[in-house]
Amino acid sequence: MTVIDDLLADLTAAISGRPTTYNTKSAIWDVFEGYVFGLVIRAAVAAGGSVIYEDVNGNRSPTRLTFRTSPGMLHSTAHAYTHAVIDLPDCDPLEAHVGVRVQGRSGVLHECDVLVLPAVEAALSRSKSVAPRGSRSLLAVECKYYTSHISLYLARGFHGLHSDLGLKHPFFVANIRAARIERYLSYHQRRWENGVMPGTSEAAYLEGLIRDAFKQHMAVRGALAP
Amino acid sequence: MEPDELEVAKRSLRAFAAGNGLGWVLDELDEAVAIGVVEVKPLRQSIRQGRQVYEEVLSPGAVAPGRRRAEEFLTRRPMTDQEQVEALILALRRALVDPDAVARAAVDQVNGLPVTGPRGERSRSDADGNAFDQPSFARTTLVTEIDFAPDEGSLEETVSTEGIRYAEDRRITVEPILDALMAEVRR
Repeated sequence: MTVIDDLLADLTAAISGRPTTYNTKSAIWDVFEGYVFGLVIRAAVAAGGSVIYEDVNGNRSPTRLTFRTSPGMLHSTAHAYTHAVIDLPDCDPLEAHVGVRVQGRSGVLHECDVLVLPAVEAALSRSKSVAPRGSRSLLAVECKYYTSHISLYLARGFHGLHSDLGLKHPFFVANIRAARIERYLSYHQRRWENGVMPGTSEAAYLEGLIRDAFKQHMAVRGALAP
Repeated sequence: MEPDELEVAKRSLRAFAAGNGLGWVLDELDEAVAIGVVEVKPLRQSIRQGRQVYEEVLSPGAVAPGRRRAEEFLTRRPMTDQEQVEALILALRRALVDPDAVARAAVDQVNGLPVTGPRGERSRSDADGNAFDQPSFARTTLVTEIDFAPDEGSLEETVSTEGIRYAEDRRITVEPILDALMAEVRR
């Protein structure tokens, strides 16, 4: 037995009580999306907004939020999926959703990990059982949680996706730094923040970027001062 | 670590990952290994005996008068065994330890926020945009956990932040083991 083997035996014992469900990539991706959703909500509050959680059936203030494991239709009632209603001063309400499909300008459905759209567009989606339109949406965040390597095709996909969705503020967000991704997205003038994890400066920077998006929305859509 | 020890360590770490539902961590690492480490090589174009040639520039910042600035070309080299093993230990940390902090933050940061009034009622703010001090916004959000449930057609299992968060004592155990593994491969 080597020292490495001894340490790995200890590590195996230490994680033995953990359900293997929680070792899956999708579980970690899901919780990272939930984390970024929270950053978006905090940014809205930092911009002067207030928030309430509501499920697809209209029930308010659930103490357990329910998000999708993989992208679905905003109007789905398979579970009481939760969204946030964001109320910015003097603006029509917005909604923030996790993992929903959105209609692109080309007429195909895309996926958004975190989406902020006008509440009226979300209500249309629920009442008519259709996907919301990307061109009517305000903000979307593509969330990537990787352990060692982010493929370049993800950045290419993000660039292509948002060329088609046409929403105002798309962000690419990852838990780790990736120089090639950053170079590619910067070249194509796409906004990104990598290295976003709880307590990092990058998380604060991302919150600031999203707050700016809300501020711009308020400046354009809010009531003019008398 | 000697090269043969490093090879044994790599095999043991990979076997651990494969045996604990972390094959996706290995897949990701293998993709990184296949791509290798991309590096920049500055080359300067010049004319010698009437022919266009490119020469490698060792100090690209310095440009002699009358010389062209170096152009950056990309190249790659294979990832060393040392880099692979260290990347795998770091990846295990991101799979086993970091999600705990992400799950905690996911719940913490959606709590204690000012609550919106009844739907359709717009918030009111003073000239400075301070909406929170008004009585109707005195309540704050209260969230205990976040569940992730599969939508129609999805075969994934439901997970929750409750389950993904380690018990604090377990996290305290896992992190030092990963630190010790890294120290061992770096000795």
